Amino acid sequence: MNAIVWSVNANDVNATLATGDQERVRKQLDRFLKDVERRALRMAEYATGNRDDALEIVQESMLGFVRHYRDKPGTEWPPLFYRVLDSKILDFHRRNQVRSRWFGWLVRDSRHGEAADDGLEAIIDAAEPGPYRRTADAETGQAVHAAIQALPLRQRQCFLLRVWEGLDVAATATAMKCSEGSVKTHLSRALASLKLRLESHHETPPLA
Amino acid sequence: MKPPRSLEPQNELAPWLTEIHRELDADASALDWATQSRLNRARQAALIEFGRRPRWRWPTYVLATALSLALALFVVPGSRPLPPTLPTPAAATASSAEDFDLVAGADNLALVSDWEFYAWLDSTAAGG
Repeated sequence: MNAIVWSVNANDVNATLATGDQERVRKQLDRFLKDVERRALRMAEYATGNRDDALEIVQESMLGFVRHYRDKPGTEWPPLFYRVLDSKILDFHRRNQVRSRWFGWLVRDSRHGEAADDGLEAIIDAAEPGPYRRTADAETGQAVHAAIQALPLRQRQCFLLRVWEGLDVAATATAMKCSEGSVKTHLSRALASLKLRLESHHETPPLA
Repeated sequence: MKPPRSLEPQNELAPWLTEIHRELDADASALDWATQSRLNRARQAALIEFGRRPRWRWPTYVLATALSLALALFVVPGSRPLPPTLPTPAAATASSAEDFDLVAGADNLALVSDWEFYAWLDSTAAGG
């Protein structure tokens, strides 16, 4: 009798262990998504200029991330999630470019600029900043957001991933599907542009 | 929120980068309830997707190849070995199905056009 109960329980233990691991990973995933969702939303909002579009992109990114990278270790989640987010943002811009090319004479879309000759890198989003709750220094906050908004798409993505999200060069390259050299170039240009725009709002002397 | 990273070798830019980081954090934390609710729903949908069994996905070309092979085996004439014995009444149904597959093949136009002839031939053979 005891042997029979043990054999039944052994099968249940294996199932329980598998279920336990699943639940543990699920909780980790929940914590991770909760941590990144707001920053992801702001990144998407900078790129699209529209909160509804940004929310849709974030939702698609979460689903895509779970479908494609569910079995990856947790240490690899940040660059992989932002890789999906970056892809969704680029898809959004490509769709808009096609749409404006075909129907631009019907609808004037002042939210998105045209790509420069050198492609996506020089895409400038002309979107107006959305409503933000301000910190004590409202003027500085507005200047910061306007400066970030004015960056070309790839430079902005690189800046936000490196500086705000805190990804290192390798992880940022993974997220943006480019080389580490390109990451350094994008970031360097982004920092130069931001510094130029924000110089009047900071007391830090310019670099020699 | 994450503390700002110092970016080597631009350590001297860290103070104003810190200010940018702080502003971005403040802005991200100040979301309205409707937006927070939508984010929460998106996250829950992703967790539900995680709970599902991973979809069994085969590359499209593998499926296309398998389907082509299956069609070739059942449709191409002569692709099946001759039966070792004379067809029995029990096998007549299977034989009829094979005949249908032969007729249904797009290459057997002559067979289709002479269908009435072969049907007549079959009926005379059965009666004679």
